[in-house]
Amino acid sequence: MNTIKMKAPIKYHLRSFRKTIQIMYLCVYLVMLLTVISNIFKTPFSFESNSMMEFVSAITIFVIGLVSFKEYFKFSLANGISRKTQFFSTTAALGILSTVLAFIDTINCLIFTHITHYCPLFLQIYGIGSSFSDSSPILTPQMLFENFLWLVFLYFLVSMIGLFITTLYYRMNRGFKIAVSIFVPVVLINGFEPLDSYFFAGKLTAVLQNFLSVAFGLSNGCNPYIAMVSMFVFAFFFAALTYLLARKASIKN
Amino acid sequence: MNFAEDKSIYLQIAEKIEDAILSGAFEEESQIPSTTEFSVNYKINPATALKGISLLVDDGIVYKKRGLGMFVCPGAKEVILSKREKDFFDRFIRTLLNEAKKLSMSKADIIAMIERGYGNEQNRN
Amino acid sequence: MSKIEIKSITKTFGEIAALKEVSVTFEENHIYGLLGRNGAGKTTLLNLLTGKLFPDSGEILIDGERALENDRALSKMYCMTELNLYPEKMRVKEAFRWSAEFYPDFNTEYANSLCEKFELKTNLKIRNLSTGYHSIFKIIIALSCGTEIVIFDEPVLGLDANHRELFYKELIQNFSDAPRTFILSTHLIEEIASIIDRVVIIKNGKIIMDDEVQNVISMGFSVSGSADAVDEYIKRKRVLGFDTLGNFKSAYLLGKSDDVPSSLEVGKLELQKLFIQLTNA
Repeated sequence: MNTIKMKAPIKYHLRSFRKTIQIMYLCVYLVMLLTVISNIFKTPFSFESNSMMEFVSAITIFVIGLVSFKEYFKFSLANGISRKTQFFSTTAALGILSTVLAFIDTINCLIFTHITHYCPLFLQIYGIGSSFSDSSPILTPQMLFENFLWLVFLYFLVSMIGLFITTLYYRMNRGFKIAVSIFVPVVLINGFEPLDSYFFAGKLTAVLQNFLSVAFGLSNGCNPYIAMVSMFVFAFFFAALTYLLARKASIKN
Repeated sequence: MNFAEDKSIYLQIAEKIEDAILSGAFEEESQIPSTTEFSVNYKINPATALKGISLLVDDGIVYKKRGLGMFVCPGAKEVILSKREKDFFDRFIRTLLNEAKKLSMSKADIIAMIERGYGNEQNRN
Repeated sequence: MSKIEIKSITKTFGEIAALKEVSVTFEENHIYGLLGRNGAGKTTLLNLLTGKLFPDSGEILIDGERALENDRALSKMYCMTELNLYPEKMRVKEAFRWSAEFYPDFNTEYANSLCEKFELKTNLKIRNLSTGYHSIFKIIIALSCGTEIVIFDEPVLGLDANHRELFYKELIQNFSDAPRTFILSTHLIEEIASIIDRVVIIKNGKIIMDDEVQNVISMGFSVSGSADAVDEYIKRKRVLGFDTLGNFKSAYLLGKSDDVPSSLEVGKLELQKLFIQLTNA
């Protein structure tokens, strides 16, 4: 893998992200503006925009992950880029995007907490009772830094999940695609609890809940750094699966 | 240029250039188009065009001026004429006699035809 | 220095063996014609060569290096294919810009001049191009890339006669200015017969011919005349095939034509005729 060769593909990815991100922030700022206006004029509708922004960013980067395979794969084949370079450049571009979004969102956090009642997602999880008070939390530099880092890992993990799903779908044949598209959501949403209580007397859910709380640093007090490590490990896991799927991808007619 | 003809393409190219020299379109000591120009114009592989031109170089009809291109040799016209005269019998007379044989024409018939041909030219002049 | 060595490549799609232990070498400074009937395996071979597919067995070397998943080897090639690989929403001029990023030797000025000659508006989105202009767009990139190996898979799909002629002329000019390896894969044998100097023929997933065009054409000849006379002559000869029209028969033979009786017409073997006879079942 040639690092010099990666420059152009990464540039291409970042270019393709630009428009989506611009629209996203436009919407976010618009909503914030409406919130502030509604606060000033004390309208009956209150825009509850607590931690909305991070959700929006997370969903956006997840969707970006979802569209970062097929079109790019074909384009890369036309331009003589190996699948290895494709994978690493996509991952790198999503990593860069995660960092940029996390940075902007942290700055936004600072602004929003000053102009309206806003509590970032990070504090809602790791802060103590912050979202239930009437005023916005005071953000210390340490909080801002941790917020930023935590968001980087969160966004990156979420984008890797999106990338994994789209790569998996590309590699699957039609039968598999239909089966997975129906089966997985049904099991996850409706089937998990009944299946678990029938086969494992509810133990699986308990184990899972325990695992998640440990992974996200919530078991013994609030430790966001454990969460960052966990998210990185999960992201690496999804990325590795994606690589295994991507490296044997062939062109389809 | 009709590539369905029996003659190889490079020979046809060489002949075309010779014809142009004879007719005065390519004057002696003047530059002829490059290999690339010939190959693009007739839509043939450049190596084929080069082969045809090399033939002419070997026969002393064109020569290469370093850095400039191909030029018509002085006296090229005479060289071509004498070459063609030598070929004339093989190319035209033999074919004529073969065809005449197919049509069962006698020697006298052929001569009469030739006379007629000259007569027509005179009438035109 | 752009030699392609394809060694014992086999590729199967389900039950169909598209290529069976195919070996062929493409040397530099030639214009190759890759010929074959529909489904013979031409496109599969080119897709394997450019890394779009993986072979079941065998290997492909470019300048001695394995081409599989190799950025350096892949950057030496550009393949103009029927497939729609470019993003639909991209504009032609954007595609040129990105081509220049991925292929450092891409000549943008030349590409734009070709656009003028072919009357392709660079502001158009790729999804709005007609079939013909889609081909033209890809041809222009292929010719402007500056790569050592340039491959054209059915380049003239949808091109009108004027554009076809323009393409061939630009191709020859381009090759003449910078000789490299050109591979033309097409059905229009007659049109390219004079342009290519090497021919490779694929039949049912196997290479049945790989030679210089002039050798191939001088391999044999045709005889025409009355059916009886032709039949008499072709006894004990290596016959490729024949055409019959009433009592008039033409036979295509391998070998030398020095013993043809005067009752029969001798003709040159055209590449397309030879191809048809060789690839008939």
